[in-house]
Amino acid sequence: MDFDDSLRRYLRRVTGDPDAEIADLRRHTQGFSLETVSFVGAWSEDGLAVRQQLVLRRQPPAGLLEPYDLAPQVMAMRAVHGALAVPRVRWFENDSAALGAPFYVMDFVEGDVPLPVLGPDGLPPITDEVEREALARDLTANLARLHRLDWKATEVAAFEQPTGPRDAAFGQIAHWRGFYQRAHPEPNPMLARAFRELDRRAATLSQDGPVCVVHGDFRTGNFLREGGQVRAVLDWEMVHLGDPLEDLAWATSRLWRGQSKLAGVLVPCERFLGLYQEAGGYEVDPERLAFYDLMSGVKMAAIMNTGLRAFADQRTSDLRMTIFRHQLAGMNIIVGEALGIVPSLDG
Amino acid sequence: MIEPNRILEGIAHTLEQSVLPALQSGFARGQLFAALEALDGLQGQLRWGGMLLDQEAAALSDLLEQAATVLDDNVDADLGRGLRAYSAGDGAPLEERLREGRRLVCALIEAGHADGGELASAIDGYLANDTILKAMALRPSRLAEISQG
Repeated sequence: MDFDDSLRRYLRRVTGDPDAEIADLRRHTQGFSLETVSFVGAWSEDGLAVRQQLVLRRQPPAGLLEPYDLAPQVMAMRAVHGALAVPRVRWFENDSAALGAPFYVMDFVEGDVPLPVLGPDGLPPITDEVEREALARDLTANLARLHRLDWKATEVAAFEQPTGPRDAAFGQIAHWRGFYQRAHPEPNPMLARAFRELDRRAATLSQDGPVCVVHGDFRTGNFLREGGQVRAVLDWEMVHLGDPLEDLAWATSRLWRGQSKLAGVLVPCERFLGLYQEAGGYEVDPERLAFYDLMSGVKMAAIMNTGLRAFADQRTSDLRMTIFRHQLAGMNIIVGEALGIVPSLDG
Repeated sequence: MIEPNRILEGIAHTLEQSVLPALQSGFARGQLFAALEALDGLQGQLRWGGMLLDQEAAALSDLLEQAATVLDDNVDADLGRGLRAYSAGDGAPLEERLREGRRLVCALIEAGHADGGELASAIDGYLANDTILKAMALRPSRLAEISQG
């Protein structure tokens, strides 16, 4: 049975309508992690005809964030739905019986995804400065609402719970060190230096401070927008409980500035941090922010090594993984800058 | 270490198995077959990094030679042996030598020699120079097209 037939059969099962149909099925290559398929589902519900554009995200056989577990992201998206802009998850299958791998289906949300790169003309993807400011304001407001969410009253409470910022920092080091080592990378002295420094800095961090839901990949490129409004925050694969400043450091990291000085190619980093606090976000402690700025580069290098390893071991045939072989040199620059070893790229 | 041949093989495999069936134009298919033959012809001929690797090898030798003179054998006996073996192993193939050199620098860092002391500034100097040199060879990314393709 091919994918279309399997999906039709699945839709008939979950809607209880033996005549449910799918149409306009398209496979997308956006995103480097989960496989994405959009389609229109049509079924009958309580005698009424429903026609809904849907997006299916399926676990890939291998890739950047392996080993995969879709459950935490589905739990998080359901927990935050209503508190911030996030697609409604309708169905989740955590086994491979229906479509060959775990997947979830969510409502399609209209909007475009600005990418964190400058155009060929050297301009940001959103050229209007007022619109960029409005978007950054709405984006940071969403982030502040995520961080202030009372997660203890939700399914997310089942996640591993750090006891404070220092504990969260050590947890993230252990997580990404393990992730990096599993990729059997070539010896990389810059990353060895970075892990050593992260250990040193984590020990100096305060344990007093917030523990909240951390999106883990909150940045330009991972949300849908219409004008200056965020329509949906996407890509929850790395969600966990931790330090809110982890998301802020990732969102403002050089990784996503596209060779500009703008956080996410939207607004200057200081402005982004200011907007977050104006929106009710947590206080920005410079030490913790610097810790997570360094962690951001290390985390990205670990992810790239994982994708590259999956390709080299022939567990994925996605050619996009091969670009990481040369892009790792760029990661060393970003890590070196955060360590203070390489001069600031802003001059 | 991920060898260039494994990456080339993987690229050729995906082009032939996944991209080729999606191409309708005879011209495009002909161009792709030519690219596949060119990739075949490169098998076994490439090494990553070119001249950059020669420069890195020289910088590693300088750093590790200095480290060998500074290290206290009573404290870092294994590392000291590794450094001396490295200095004596000049005849090894370049890629093996680089891998071993990088591994030794990692070991120096993990033993705390970048935290302070006589070697700290030499280690950071090596890291900075090597990183900047390799980053200068980077070309602008096509991420926008790759991500939306």
